[in-house]
Amino acid sequence: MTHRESDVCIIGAGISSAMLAEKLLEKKPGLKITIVEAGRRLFDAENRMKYRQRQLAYAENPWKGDYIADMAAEGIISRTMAVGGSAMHWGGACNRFSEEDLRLRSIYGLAVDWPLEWKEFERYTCEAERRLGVGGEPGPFAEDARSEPYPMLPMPLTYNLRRLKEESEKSGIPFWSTPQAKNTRPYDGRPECIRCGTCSICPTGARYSPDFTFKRLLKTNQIRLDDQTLVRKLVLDDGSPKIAAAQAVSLENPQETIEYRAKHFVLAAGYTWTSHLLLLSACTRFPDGLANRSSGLVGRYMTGHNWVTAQMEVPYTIYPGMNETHALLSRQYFRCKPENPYVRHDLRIWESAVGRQPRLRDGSGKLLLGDALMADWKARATSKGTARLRAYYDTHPHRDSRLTLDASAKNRFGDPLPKIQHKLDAAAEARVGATRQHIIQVFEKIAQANQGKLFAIEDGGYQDHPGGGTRMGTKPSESVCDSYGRTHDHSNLFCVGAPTVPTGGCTNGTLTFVALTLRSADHIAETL
Amino acid sequence: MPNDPFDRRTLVLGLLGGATALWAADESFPGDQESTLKALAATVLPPSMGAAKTDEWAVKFAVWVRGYTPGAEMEHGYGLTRLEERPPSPAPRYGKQLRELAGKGLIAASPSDRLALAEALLAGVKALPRIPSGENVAADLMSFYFHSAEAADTCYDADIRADACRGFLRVSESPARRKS
Repeated sequence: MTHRESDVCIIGAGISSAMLAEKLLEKKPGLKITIVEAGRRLFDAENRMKYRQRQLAYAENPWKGDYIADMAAEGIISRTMAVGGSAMHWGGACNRFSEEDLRLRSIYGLAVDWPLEWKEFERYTCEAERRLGVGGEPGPFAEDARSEPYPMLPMPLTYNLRRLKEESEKSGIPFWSTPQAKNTRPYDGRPECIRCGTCSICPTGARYSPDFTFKRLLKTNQIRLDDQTLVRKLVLDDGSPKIAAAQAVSLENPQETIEYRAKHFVLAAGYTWTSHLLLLSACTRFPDGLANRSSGLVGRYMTGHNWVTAQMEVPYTIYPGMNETHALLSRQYFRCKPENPYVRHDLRIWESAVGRQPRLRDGSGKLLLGDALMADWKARATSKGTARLRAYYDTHPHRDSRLTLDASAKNRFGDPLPKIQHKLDAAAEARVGATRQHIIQVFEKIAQANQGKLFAIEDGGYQDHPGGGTRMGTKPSESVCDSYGRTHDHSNLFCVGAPTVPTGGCTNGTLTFVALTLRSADHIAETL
Repeated sequence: MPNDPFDRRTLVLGLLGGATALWAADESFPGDQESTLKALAATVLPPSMGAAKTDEWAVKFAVWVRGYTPGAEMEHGYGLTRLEERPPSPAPRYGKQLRELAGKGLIAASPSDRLALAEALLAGVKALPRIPSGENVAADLMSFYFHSAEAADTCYDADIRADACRGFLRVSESPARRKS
């Protein structure tokens, strides 16, 4: 067995890990940090243009080998396990949560409050925007006031989005440019976006991904990064409830086992693998899993948000492909008066090609070839256009919204894999119908403003931007960790990012997960 | 599975031979059916773009087939995720379908007979695949062209250039008319 010693051992190498390591090293230069990641590093940024071409031509995975075949989970929404995690292929949307998300119990009597004050947390959100490099513009609502301007100007609206904004705002709902972690000017050593339209693999690096941070830290020998190394268990110190070591195995050489010893251990392994490792680490003193004695809540309150989407036919031309990953955003329904029925959601509008694509057969089934096909396509595509509408709406998890160990599915080492089954709490479940009805009415209002009509209205099939499993709180009996991610049961074990959120908000979560991590970093640095 | 060493050797050689044939089919596609492929392109792609252009798209399609990588990882997506690999090369099936079209006289056929042959080949196909699926050479050739950025620009008569890295100059304006 190989032994490695460090001040801080971070398990997982996604966006939270990158932000945590970078900030800890700024605050404590010389700190010895080891990062352990099960997936591999995909650091050949110079080949991204080639991978993009293969993706466009053949729908090949542009992040070859970014998963581990026998590390799946029922209910998981991304198979990505690689250095950089899901943020290697994210869209870069950096929407903010709001004060309401942190005070659900106080304002509405729903779910729980987060153990944070918005005013303080908002500053960390600004810091996250600075570190990720977010371009955006402030919205018109006083409640969305910012303590700092966005680091960059917003992504310019295409003709499609400009037109959709003009027409949609006739509904009385304001829209603006969705903030994104994409450079609108050279920033942090990366170039400005040149609108390649394939943000899931940004060929230039204009869209932030954690590999840039890791590469920078590695170049200056500030971290040790052990990829393709699976941590299978955390073990306790003999005489105290502190974590003594993380036991891992090399996936390249399964005969090689490694024991990581550190003063502090940080789980930055996302909403699935954080709870999973804690449950896998059950021992005599903690038979239900580590960090799970005080509350029994590890793997519970798995959260996220639901959504409704629709296509909107408009009586003017939309040109698909101008910048299909950028969208209009509105927070018109981000707040809800306490005396009203509880409905909170965001609103987005994208260009779309649905219903405007070339087709082999017309409505009567007649075959179309050559010029006839082009004429049919032209007639459908240029006389009308399509936009996609979507609203993420706030739902709250039931205690039994769970990640459990699935004894029927094991990896090559015989470890049970996680199984995630989301469940809404009774209040959230009861209001789904009314929420859905409200959202469709809002969509209809927008369609009416556009003199258009809705079609293909659908409900999301999974909880998006998932989190939870080690939720934070003030009481050890009701939460797994405190507001800094320090577990109540183990003074040197922290969880950061998505797993710590008690509720999943009603907009994209990454910025919030990063802001929470940056707040944890301040605290961890103080305790070192 | 044969037990005799000679039989096993025969089997192995046979498998290797088959693999070589498949490889050869991919590498040389469309082989001796280049004229058939061009005739098919002239039939199912917009003839109004001219013979030189339909020929060019036939050649591009052949390059696409030769660049196809069986077993390559496909995107595993987000949300409802699953691991998939690209299926075997479409070249052998395309080759067979092209030879059949050649046997029916596609190259020398009149425009109306060419249309009839293309319609017969596409009889069971309901929709264009999003990317060529390897099932039907006519549908896939059409998909290859009609889902291209160039075809979209033709359709909209606009310089959208969806597959290019284009910057943001005048992005808020209606796209310029397509350059012919």
